[in-house]
Amino acid sequence: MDVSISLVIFLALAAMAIISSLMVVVGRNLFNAAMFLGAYLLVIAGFYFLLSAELVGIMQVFVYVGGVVVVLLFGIMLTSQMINVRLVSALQQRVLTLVVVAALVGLLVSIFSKTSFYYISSAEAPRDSISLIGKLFMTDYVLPFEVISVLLLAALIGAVIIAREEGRQ
Amino acid sequence: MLSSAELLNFANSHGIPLWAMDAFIAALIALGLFAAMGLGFMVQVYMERKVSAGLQLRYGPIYVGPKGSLQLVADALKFITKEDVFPSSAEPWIFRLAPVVMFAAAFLGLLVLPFGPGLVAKDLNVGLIYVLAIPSIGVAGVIMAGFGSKNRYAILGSLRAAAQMISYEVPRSLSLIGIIMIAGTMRLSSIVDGQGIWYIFLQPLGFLVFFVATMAELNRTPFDLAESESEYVNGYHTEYSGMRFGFFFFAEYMSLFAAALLTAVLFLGGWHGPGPVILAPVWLLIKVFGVIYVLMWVRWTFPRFRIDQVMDLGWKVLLPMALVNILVTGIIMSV
Repeated sequence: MDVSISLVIFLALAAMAIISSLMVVVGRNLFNAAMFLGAYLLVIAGFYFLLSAELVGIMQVFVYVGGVVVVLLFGIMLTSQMINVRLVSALQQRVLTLVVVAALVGLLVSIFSKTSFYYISSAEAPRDSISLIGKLFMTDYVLPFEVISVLLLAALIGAVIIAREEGRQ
Repeated sequence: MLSSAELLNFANSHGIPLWAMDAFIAALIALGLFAAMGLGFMVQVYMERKVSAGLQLRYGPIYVGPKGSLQLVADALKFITKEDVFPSSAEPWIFRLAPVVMFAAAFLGLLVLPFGPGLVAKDLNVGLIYVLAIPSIGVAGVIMAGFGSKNRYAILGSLRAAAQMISYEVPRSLSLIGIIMIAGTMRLSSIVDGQGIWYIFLQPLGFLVFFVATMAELNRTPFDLAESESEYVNGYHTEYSGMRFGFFFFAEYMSLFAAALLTAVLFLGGWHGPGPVILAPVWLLIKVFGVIYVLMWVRWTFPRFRIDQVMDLGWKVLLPMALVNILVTGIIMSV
């Protein structure tokens, strides 16, 4: 019998991922939805750890849980009209929604059918993944790395400008 | 995952499934850490009371036990037996979960911290980023506590605490890049092994930024805006009492211990010290409690900053200092 703890953990994480992502969509309270989104992103980090991709998993926690979700919660709490509002959304564009959903489902099914799930690389996970990743960033992937830096800088400056203009009014 | 060859044989010969064995060992490590932290908690709280009393020319606890050392046992009994007050306007699940999230974040942070050579639950090769990333889950716990209480003081306190913790995460992380450059690794045990000269001497500027940012990250005076009693009652845990408050309290001292341990491991040579290897954890603990003493000393000596001063210090002083530190380290290393 080949029941390892990784399988048990994987099944538990998968169940948690499905439940929490469903709660994000189904919930009517915005704050709760944001909390479940945070839980879901943590579970994804758990998957990365399970695949011994520690750096990616930690970055997931750092950027998504510590950054994105916290900023989302800030936004909800500072928008006073958003607290305690039960969002009731009515389906308004029925045809368009159906088209988009059908396209998305089609895309997912086509990806699902093309992927072979039984391929597991026999290679050992690299022991020192950080220095490998660092070297790749500075050699093969230096252009995307620099482009992302410029993009983040632009976003930073844009945020400062928007904040200053609001302060003046 | 955790099993060594002997344990594997034991499991095979007794028909114990492998996953149960792994889960058992993991639970054992977690319990051991928890017990150690419980003990550390008692020592730290007693120390905090005595240090603060000494600095303010008071006696501190003297009645319960010899020199008041059993005061915390009495306090713990009080926490456990106190009525569980639940504000009627609170969000039930968020209010209940917030202390758990805070506690779990503080506890998870201990997972990669070495207590001595080989004495570590999981020696990740990204250990340094891990200890910086996990406290950010605690920020979510702070916001949950404030929002779940549905109390104006609690919401204001949680917003301040979260803003402060996010701001100081940036200089705190950047101040350690110099160490990563010198050590060439992010594995905490390798960083300790590489410290022939303590990094506090090689990275004085980095240490200064890290230490101040750590104080802010722990929400201790002079950075205790999150629970400034004179302004808004008690910040994000205004509505918590009894055992729920006890969890916040425990998490706070666990983070304090973890921060002091991280400082000792990164800057003060970890477990290095004269004498045989068996003394290594003792040296480490001496350094850890030295750091904790300095943190308490600062806490009971300085008054509180204003919120704008806190933000200015973080973004306009510590962040440029951390960047200069990286630049200087790079120049010196390349020369």
